[in-house]
Amino acid sequence: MSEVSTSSRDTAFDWHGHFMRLADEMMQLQSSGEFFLLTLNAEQSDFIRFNAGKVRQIGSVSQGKLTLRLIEGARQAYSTFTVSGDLEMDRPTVAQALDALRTGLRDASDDPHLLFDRSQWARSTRRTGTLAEPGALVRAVAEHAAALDFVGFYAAGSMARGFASSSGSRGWYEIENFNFSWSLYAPSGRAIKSSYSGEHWDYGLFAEKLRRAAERLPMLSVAPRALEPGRYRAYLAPEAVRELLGSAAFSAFSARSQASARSEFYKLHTGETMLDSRVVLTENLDLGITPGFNEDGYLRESVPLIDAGRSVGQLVNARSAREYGLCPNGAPASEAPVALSMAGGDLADSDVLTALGTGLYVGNLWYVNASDRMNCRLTGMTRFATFWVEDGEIVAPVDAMRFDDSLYRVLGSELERLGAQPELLLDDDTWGERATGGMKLPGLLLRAFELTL
Amino acid sequence: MLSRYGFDGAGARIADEALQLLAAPNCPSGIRDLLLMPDQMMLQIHESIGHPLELDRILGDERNFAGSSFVTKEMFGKYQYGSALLNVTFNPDLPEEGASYAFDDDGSEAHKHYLIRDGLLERALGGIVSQHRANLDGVANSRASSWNRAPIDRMANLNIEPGTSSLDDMIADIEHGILMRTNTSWSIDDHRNKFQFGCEFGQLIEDGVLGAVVKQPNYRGISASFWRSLSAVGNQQTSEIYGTPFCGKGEPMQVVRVGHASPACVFRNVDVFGGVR
Repeated sequence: MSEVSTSSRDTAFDWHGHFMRLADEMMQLQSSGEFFLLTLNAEQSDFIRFNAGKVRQIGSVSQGKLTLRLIEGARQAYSTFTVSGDLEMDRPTVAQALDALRTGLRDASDDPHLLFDRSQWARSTRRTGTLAEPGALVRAVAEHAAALDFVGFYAAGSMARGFASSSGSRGWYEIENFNFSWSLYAPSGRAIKSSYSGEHWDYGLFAEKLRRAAERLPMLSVAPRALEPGRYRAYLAPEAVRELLGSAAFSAFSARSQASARSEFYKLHTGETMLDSRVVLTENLDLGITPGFNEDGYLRESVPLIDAGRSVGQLVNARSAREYGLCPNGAPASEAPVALSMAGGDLADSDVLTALGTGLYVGNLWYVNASDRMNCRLTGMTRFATFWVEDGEIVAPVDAMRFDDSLYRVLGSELERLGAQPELLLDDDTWGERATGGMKLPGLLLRAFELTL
Repeated sequence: MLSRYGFDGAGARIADEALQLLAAPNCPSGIRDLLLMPDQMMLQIHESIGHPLELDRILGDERNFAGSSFVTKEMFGKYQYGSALLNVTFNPDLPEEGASYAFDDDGSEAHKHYLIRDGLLERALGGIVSQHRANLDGVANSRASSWNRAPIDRMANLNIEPGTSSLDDMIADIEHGILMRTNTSWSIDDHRNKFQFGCEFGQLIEDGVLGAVVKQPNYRGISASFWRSLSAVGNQQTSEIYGTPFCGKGEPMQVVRVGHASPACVFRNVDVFGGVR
């Protein structure tokens, strides 16, 4: 099916050229004493939803969203608006936004936490991918998922993030990639979830992933093992670890959350407690999955967060830096990691079941939320591929169980081994736009994991 | 507007409650009757009635992400969702609630409908496309979050109709219980059945009297049995309107505004617990 693979770059809109022309326009429009920060989030994406092996909804979105911040002295105002991609239409839109911000600044009070980068730099990342043509992809699903209860979501295309400022700084990040996740349902109502993401689509690899998932379906028809609440030996696959760390990381590494005593890792950051000495976590810009600059104009570098089980750093946005007397390290406004990387250990994928022996294999977790934030206790559900394992063999699926346990235990006293091959898991969020970023995480073998319902 | 949502005088009240919570012990663990105030009932309705009744979930569209439902097509008209005190309506007609409209995004005219009447499941939260696919009655709730997303079945204003109990009577009728309000944590399984919710403020009730304040009150249960344990529904004077602008669902993700009005309600024999000591 080689005729259906194509790069979208040939047909993609030139957001780079458009953004740089709008940045030049702003340089002309700015007045003495004014400083502007301009950011662009843009995408050209195809979306396909499948249910029962058929297309349920399909769509294509081309959108660009510009945020203009105007700073004068210690006052600032900003406006976010969509741009069309037509320079003749967007020039007056930008000029109108600038006028509105100037009017707003007249009544604005000084911002005591205002901080932004005034240096001049240039950084650019552009990667062209090889994406499937949507029609051909649908035919491939129809061919390979025939007779399967296939439910899935395919999102693919180009994503761009741009930055420009009065100082002449220019940042650009543009990639083409795809994210395809799907679930195969057994008549029992249980499912195997799989995903295929990357920058170069390969029909053979997709078919192989689908075939391997389908091979595991018969196990879902075995009578499920009913577990009583209690503590169980468990292996958390990388996808499950992503749910745990992803939920905690909304504020666990945030300097602002720490300074206001709301961080899940508050006790870790104060040194009151520590994790297992093998735990090493880094906001890893070297993964190349996220822009190397932020909306305040700071270049981003990797930030060590936890080393040898101890807190060694936090993500510091410019506002937090100003408010709490810290040094900004390029963190986005959310101060959540966008390229969290965890060091691996010595547990090979092929040895996971043997090392687990008897216990729970947890493929996915779901709807994780804090149940006791100051003790980093999280609750959530097992979902999809969760199995009961005896003597290194999968013997039965396990019905969805609720857990309630602390990351201080999961990454501390109960951590037996870490997976040897951390897995790169691209962010598949589509909140208003496709997300950049992701995590690179190993699986975790735990001595005990607490189930409650 | 701010007055209607309780902002007047709230600063002093919140400061006082924060000091109470700082000094309070953790919520004790055990089985208690649970009095949920409207700001927590909002979440209880949203997660364990609203999402399970979305027809596209029941039809399987969301199984790869948001999940399915413990409710099946065959249950409509037959299933006892809750006790006879439970009456749930889809009501897009209330101008003061967060998700009122005259037409949905498929052009269907929006009107009030009972989804659950006297505890019996009557009608699904499904727009015209889902109604046709499932051959079931629904409501006008096909909504898109913006121009860049396709309409899907969403909650709008989903409310519990007031009952007859006063707040004082409900408290007086509880022998061993707890009042909870102000949500802090929420989690529920992909079939919308096993849930665990946490609140900011708890107050123990013993022999019909409100007593000690406790912090980190949590409770958990199973939707299918929880609503059948509904033993009292507050009157109009206990009812308040809330909602959220951040209801997320769909692939690609769509975030919409929803409204939930509810009186205070009592549930018997609920598993309650607190934080780590």
